[in-house]
Amino acid sequence: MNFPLRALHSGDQAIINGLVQAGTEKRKAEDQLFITYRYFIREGMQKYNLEEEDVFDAYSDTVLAAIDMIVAGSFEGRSSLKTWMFRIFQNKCVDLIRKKTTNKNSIHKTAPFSELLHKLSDASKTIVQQLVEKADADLLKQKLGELGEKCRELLMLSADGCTDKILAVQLAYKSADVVKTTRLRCLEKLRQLYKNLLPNE
Amino acid sequence: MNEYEYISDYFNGLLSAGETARFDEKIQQDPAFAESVAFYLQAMQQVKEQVAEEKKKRFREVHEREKQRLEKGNVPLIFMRWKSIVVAAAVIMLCAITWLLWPAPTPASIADKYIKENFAELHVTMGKNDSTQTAADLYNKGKWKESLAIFEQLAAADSLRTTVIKNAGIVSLQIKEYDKAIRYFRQLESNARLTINPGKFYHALTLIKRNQPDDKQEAKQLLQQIVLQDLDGKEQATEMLKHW
Repeated sequence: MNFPLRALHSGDQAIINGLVQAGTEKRKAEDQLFITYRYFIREGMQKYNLEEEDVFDAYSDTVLAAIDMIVAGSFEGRSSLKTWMFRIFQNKCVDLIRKKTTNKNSIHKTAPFSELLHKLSDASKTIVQQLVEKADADLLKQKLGELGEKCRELLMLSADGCTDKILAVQLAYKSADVVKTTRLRCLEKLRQLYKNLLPNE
Repeated sequence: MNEYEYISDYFNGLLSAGETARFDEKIQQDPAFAESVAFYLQAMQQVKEQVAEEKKKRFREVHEREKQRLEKGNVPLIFMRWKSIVVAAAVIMLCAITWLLWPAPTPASIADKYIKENFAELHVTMGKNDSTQTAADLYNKGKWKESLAIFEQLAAADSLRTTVIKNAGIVSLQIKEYDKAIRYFRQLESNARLTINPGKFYHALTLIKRNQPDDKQEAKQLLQQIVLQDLDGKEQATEMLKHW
């Protein structure tokens, strides 16, 4: 993946290069990104007068958002990684302060489906949103935990940005098509578990 | 095409424009399909949240590990800093105590120091083997009274022998015969022919050592004269006056 990055610090560039890899390389780069700007936590505590635990959550969310955006190619390198991340972090802290009085847990979650839903027309969006609201998220979470380890791993790696092609190599599948078929079967299996159509594994 | 493959391809942007439009229409027309789409989105969201949760758990571990590492690293640093501070404070305290307790130099202590350093031995011209040499040798062996006896005889015989006069005065000073020492130094002092004449300074030293009433005052006046007239012993006189 090519990033039109300008004058990035070599350490930042190494992190970005690692994030677009798979497996251990990606994990190392994620940890490195977290460690590199970990001092934001202290700054956030001082600047916003927040508890370490809260600022840690805001910072973790910042790192996760940054990873997603970097992997998706949204980070254009117009500013340094530090500046860019600090902006995200500040927003997370402000959100945290705003939402602290209402629902503390909700701040850790991204707006559900926002990225995917915008592809639908308004009419379809409304139908889907209503169906989603009726669904039992906790049950789905529980069933995901009951899904076999292999399926769970495949779905999670896919959701983490790994392409079927990468997963085929990483998980020793014959081809990307096999990965795709397996992944979608896992999704079907999850749905059957959710609808209580399958016995628990 | 499997239903989920169709849904997945739609959200991954793999469908053509026509297929995309049909996908959207199907949601509105087929409630079962709409439900599948809703489940797909919800499942994807749930999986993503699980991924995020696991990463946050890992970040927590990294955070704690880094904190511990820095704390461990900082302990010796803090200790070292404290150690340095303690050592520096101790040195300052020691200096302060030394400064406070160490006796400040006085004219008497400067005089003692001068006598100790300069009158430890008497020197006479090399090769001479006369009474002057004998008296000096006796002095250097610590036989001060015998030495003085010879110097006195020599001085009485020739009052212009400045070395003899000077040494007679020094030996008298050492054996605490201050009046005698003062007499010899005054005699030396009055010898105007000498280019180097420490008579006045030795006289002042003896007065300081004798320490009778008015001796200090007289010694001070002599020292002031030495400084003003730029006589021998000016450096020591200045030092003494500074601590008067």
